[in-house]
Amino acid sequence: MNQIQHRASSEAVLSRRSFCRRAAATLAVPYVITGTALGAANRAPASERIVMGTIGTGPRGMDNINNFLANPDVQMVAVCDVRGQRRKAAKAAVDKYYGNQDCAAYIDLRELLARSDIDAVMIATGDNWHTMASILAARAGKDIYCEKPMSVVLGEGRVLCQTMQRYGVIFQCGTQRRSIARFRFAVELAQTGKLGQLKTLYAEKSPDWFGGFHEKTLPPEPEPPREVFDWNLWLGPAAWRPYNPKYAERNFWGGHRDFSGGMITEWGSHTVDLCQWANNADDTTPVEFEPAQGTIIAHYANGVKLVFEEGVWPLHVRFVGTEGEIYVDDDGNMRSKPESLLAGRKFDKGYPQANHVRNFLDCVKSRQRPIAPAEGAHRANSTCQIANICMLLGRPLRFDPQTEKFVGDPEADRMLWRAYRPPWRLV
Amino acid sequence: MLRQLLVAVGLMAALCGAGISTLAADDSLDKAFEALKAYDWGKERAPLRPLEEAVAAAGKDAALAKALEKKLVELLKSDVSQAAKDQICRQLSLVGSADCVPAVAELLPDEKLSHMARYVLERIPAPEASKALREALGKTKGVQKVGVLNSLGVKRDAESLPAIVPLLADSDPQIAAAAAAALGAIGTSEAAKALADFQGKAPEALKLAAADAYLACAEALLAAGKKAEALAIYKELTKSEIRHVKLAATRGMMSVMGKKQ
Repeated sequence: MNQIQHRASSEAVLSRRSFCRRAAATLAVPYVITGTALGAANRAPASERIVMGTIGTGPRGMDNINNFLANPDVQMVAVCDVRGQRRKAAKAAVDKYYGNQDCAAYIDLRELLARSDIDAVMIATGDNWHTMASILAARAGKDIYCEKPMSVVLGEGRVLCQTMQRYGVIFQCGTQRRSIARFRFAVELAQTGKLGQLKTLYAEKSPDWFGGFHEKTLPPEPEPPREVFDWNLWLGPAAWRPYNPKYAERNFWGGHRDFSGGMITEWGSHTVDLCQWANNADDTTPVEFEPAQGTIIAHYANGVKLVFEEGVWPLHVRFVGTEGEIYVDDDGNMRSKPESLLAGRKFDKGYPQANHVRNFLDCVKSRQRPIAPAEGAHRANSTCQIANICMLLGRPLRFDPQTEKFVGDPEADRMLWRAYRPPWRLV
Repeated sequence: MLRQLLVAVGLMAALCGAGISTLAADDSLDKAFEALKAYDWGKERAPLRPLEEAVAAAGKDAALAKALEKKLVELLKSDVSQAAKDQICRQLSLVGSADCVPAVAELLPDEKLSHMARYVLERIPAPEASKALREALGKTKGVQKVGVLNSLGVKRDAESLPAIVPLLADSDPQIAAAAAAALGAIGTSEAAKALADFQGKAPEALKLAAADAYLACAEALLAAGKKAEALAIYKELTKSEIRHVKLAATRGMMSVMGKKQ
């Protein structure tokens, strides 16, 4: 057992799942209902509580943890990270919130996922791990909130969708702009025909923080003890290379195709996702892609054009139809033609996750489809991944959204899949 | 030879426009291969770029692809570093054909290079790639054998079934679990029979892997139009002691019966 600490008491881990099981058992054996089970002013009763674990506790993971902890019906009982400092800091933060020492800390996600008391997990690892961690969680019967982008290559995303479908688990992708009122309003304008017939969608692909793909390798350095940094687990399904701490820096792995889809998937997971949603294209992708002066232009089967727009801060999308258009960004700016589309409307700034997290938690209880389900997130990410392949190959590509293969380009097809390093497996 | 290739690449560049237009009609490809010979972890990758650009262009130029493959195989067989072989395998995964399979397959039992060999073979659609993986089952052990099983699952290689089934009883639980997963992915009636038998025999630690493989097998059978066989699997798994497996089986039964979930 590689567990660093597992001190969760039986009372602390009394979940919806175990409460309901025990409550049913009281028909045969009396069960004492404790104060913890009944809840408190800022804490839901056990029958309503969702017991959670977190996998990946870097800056994004910590932000997410705080968003989950803000919900009284969440009980965070475990954190997992391959990096010792992050793991300890996350445990300390959760323990501080609850005023105890009960949060368990793990190096290996498989140990966290083996806990039967955990209902759901939040995954905020590097991109390289999103698919595998989600699939392992689904195989263990957990509901999943996973950061975007949900895969590195397209084939991974398809297997993820199949696995979520197999187990019927709730999967929410961390594309929180779907839960932000002004983005939803813009999408609704497009979906309800207020812009006329939709013609062109502009998905901003962001300033290039990573300086493009670099595919660099780094000189070997002495590997630290596993408790400090589990290098083998950090690499996960990606190809092995000797340890160097720089690989794990966000701005390094973000530009490396073994670990990320670069800025196109980083930003496009949001902007392309919103465009596809506006185009009622959550279950498809464009069918044609062409390189165009450092960016990509794509066309959907319904004739709508998607333009990957060169990056200008803040993150934004623009939908243009025959009768009007709408622009919306992260700073709360909205512009429309005609202006009357926005008359009397007021929206907040920013891109908080609170509503998105709440939507996930509600769906865990109701078993309804969340606002950012696997299929939609996969298709949006696929569009970005195809755009990456198109830029790499430097030639126009045709894609069949049904078979999820290119038309007449076997070389491009090969880029849709990568072999996982064992023991990790997709199928 | 490589200069002649560059002429071909240059022609392609002229025809295709952006993307490979940076290729120059000089000796940069020769230099790229020289750089590859000397490549090691942490070395500058810029000298390798002409090779990567040629590989990208080779998707639309069969002669170029063949010439690049030949040169890459030569290098793969030579005494270059692990980092260089890693880079070679990445390029072969894009331009490799049945011709490169023997050289790549040699690496499957290699502790350091087995994964990169699979990286190539999983991407090559030629039946020779599946055959090489099948044959590697008898030459690999431990985590390398797990990887080979995973690749056979990815390729849904039904011909490997007789070699995989006995591995369900392997004393290494990782191998037994990988064998089950491969059978689930292959998803034939014969695979289903082996997995049915495995459900009862699997040790406690492998119950979940066994059930997951069985569910995958049911999905494959259903996709192949074998509804009755899929339904039989789902019915059996509704008796599972694992709650979420039982629920998944119930969902599966509903899908067989065409009920919306």
